[in-house]
Amino acid sequence: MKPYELIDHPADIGLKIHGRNLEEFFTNAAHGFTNLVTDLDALGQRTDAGRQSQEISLKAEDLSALFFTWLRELLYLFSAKNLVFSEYRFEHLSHCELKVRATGERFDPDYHSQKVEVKAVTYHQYSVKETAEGWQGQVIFDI
Amino acid sequence: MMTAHPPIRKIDDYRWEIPKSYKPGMRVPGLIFATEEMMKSIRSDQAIEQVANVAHLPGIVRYSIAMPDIHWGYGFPIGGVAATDPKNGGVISPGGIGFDINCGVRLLRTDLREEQVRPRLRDLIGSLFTRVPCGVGVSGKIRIAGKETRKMLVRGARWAVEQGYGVAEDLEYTEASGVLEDADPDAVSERAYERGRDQLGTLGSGNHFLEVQVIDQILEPEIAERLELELGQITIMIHSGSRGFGYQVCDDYLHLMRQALGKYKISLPDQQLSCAPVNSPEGRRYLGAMRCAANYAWNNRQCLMSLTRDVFERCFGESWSSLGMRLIYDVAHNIAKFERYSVDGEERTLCIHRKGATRAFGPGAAELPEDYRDIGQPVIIPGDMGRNSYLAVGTAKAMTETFASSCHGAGRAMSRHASVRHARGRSIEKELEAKGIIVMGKGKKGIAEEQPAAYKDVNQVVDVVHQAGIIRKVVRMRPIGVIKG
Repeated sequence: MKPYELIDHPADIGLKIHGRNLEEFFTNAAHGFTNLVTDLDALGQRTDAGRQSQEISLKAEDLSALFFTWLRELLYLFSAKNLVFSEYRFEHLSHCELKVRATGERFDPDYHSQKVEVKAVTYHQYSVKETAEGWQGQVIFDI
Repeated sequence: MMTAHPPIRKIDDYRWEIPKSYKPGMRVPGLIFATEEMMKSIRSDQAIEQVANVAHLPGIVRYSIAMPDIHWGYGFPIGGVAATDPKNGGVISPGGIGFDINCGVRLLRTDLREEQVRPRLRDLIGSLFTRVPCGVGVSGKIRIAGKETRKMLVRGARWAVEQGYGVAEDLEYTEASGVLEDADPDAVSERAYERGRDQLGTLGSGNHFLEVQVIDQILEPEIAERLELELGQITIMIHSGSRGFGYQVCDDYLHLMRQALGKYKISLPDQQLSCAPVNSPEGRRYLGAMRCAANYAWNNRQCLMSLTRDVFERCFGESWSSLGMRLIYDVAHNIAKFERYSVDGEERTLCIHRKGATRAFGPGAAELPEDYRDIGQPVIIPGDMGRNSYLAVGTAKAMTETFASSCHGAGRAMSRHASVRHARGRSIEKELEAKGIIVMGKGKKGIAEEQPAAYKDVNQVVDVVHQAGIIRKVVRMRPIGVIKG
């Protein structure tokens, strides 16, 4: 099972995300998002940059809304706080609530590779569903 | 995912109608401007479905319109125009404006000629690339906070001029004079303020650009002369919007309106079209916030123009005014405006959503600067970085047929992913350099995604709106230097 795949869209970019359980599903989505913005594999290799850690707590009415809110939160933390993460330690994750410690670093345009500027997470063709293998989600970002 | 082909009726060589009967919830038909050839590719994705979906909006008037640069967006198609009537339950839809509120283009003329610029082109583009902040996660040099930000959001581009970024005359040649009144800074979330904090005077990424061009065709000599535009002359085009500030405003209100759909008993085929009546608390609040974002964008383009003038001054050792760097016009192509049109023999104030569409007022419109009033509003239509861009003017026909709207660019023909595949093993920079175009961008991938082949041919797109009579082509430009985020 691939953690995530890119979906072709004429103007924008989408992700199809898979996970055997919720933690994996949420983590793979976060990695997919980060890898749109910068090179995920290059994170955590810099010795001079201090690691940044952020606690994220979110609530929503159901899993679909929580997953959407999760992606919006990661976009906000990147766009407003310049934070990019490569590790997630979930303290709690249910269908309506999550608490996670995300670890990463501050995005530096002179050091990190710049990929696309993600403007927003859209509801267009958005879906989250349980499958025989676990969870599957689809989301299109405006870029 | 392929969808069934709707029964499209050909009206004439440039107009196609999606009948109201195509989907049960459609309130008006769809109207697409395209040639038969273009319709083949338009039919191949979901853009037509999206034009039909927009026709479901409560209070929509006459048609859900699509321009020839139409392509599949999210919710609304890109290249879409929808007019709603607030007095008849008309809604406002943040998705009908887009995340990049008041994304737009401005065009500057200069007295410089190609032969004067060619010898210094690499230095010039290099300086622009260094001095104009661009790319992902890049901060601008203009820092404002607190009360000053609120003042900027309310005053529009006047604020930038008051800070020394440009002159009062620039405002005259900006759509809406660079300000939407009744902007409400209290309707803007803390997150939007945060995302916009260090992005004023930044170009951004994706399809945003700053381009140095040469006029290579004069199509309406009289109008060109009035605008002081000649063959071989250098022009500059700037394409950017409201940056993270606008994206967050749209995001905030999309969610608010999605939750309010039940309250107003609105049912829609796509959640991304979420909307609320113009005259509802949600609608009014969004309008207040959207106007702040529109004003942010006009300040942004004003500051970007000022940085550009500085670079030209240094490069050519003359002041920008002696280089003749006058703003021809600035147009918004992602915005909602209240404008008056005659519908069924009655003058009505309508809420015009333009998403990837440019306003194209014909001659006589009161908002136009006095010296443009008899020629019509300049309509700026950028193409891809290897072909052309156009300056056109709006017509009387646009006023009666398309709520004074025209296309906004070439429109994408290839997905970003496909573009990168298409560019594999090639250097797009080198290919463009061989054509005499210097391109500087932050990432190879970004340039690959924006390569000429990724877009429709702007010449064909502009030809449709010209032949349909909703604009008149005035001059054509070709790029010689481009900076991309």
